[in-house]
Amino acid sequence: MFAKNARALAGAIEMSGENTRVLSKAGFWDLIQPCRRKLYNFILKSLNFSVEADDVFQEAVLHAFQYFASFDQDRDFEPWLFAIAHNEIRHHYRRVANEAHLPELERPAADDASHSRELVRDVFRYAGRLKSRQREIFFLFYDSGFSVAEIAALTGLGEGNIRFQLHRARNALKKIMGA
Amino acid sequence: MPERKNIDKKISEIVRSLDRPIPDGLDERLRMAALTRKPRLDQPEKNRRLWPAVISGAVVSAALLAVLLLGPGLRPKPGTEISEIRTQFELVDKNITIVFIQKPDFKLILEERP
Repeated sequence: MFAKNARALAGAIEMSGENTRVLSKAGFWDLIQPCRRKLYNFILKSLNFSVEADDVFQEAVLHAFQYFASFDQDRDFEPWLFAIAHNEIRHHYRRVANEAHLPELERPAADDASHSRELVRDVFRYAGRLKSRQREIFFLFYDSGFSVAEIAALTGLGEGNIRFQLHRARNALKKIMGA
Repeated sequence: MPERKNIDKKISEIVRSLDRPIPDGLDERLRMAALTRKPRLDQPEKNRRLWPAVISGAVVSAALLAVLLLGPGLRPKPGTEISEIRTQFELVDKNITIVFIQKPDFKLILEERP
């Protein structure tokens, strides 16, 4: 993941006199470009396809933009960005009541032919019934593709706890999928 | 283990099959909002500037504690210095008094007992 970000990160570093650690505004947009859609989908799904997802996405990106100077270049950009998004989601849930909206399957992805609409709906219905924190873990693992260790680092939860949540989800979905 | 991986792969495929693009309007709104937000580039500097305050605070606290513990009111009183030791014998029947005086090649402190 680091190598993938390396080129964009190199562009983000401004050589301003002696201080080479200053990160440029333009560099931020270069870095965020490849993971914007992934971040948007994570927030959208974690918020049960709520209309508030757009605002939370906007706040997460703007906060990342504001605190970009504190980003440690030796670490991966994506987990840092998703940790900010995780905080924004938590902040959102503290403000509003958890309203579940089932996903509207009007615009499924092009390669969706292998899965029936009902199966997709059932899986998202299951995720929608999870508690907000469990849902975040579920989507960070299955949608965003983070490892258990990365999820632990960006959410501040224990790896054992995350493994337990994923194990429970796996067992429940096994029945739903008939596997 | 392979079964678990297969299930994980299948769940991932299903979850990822629903992939929404970022709405066009949102992208533009984001760029506009970023123009009004000032990047907090000085944030790490600010954090570093806290250290002198923390250190000076600790030094002041330690000094205050030392004054309180070792101040004039709380300091133990020094003992009286012994300047000489006098030993006296009296031979009553011969009307003679012998006095030994030791001084000042020693230094002793007389302890004051409460």
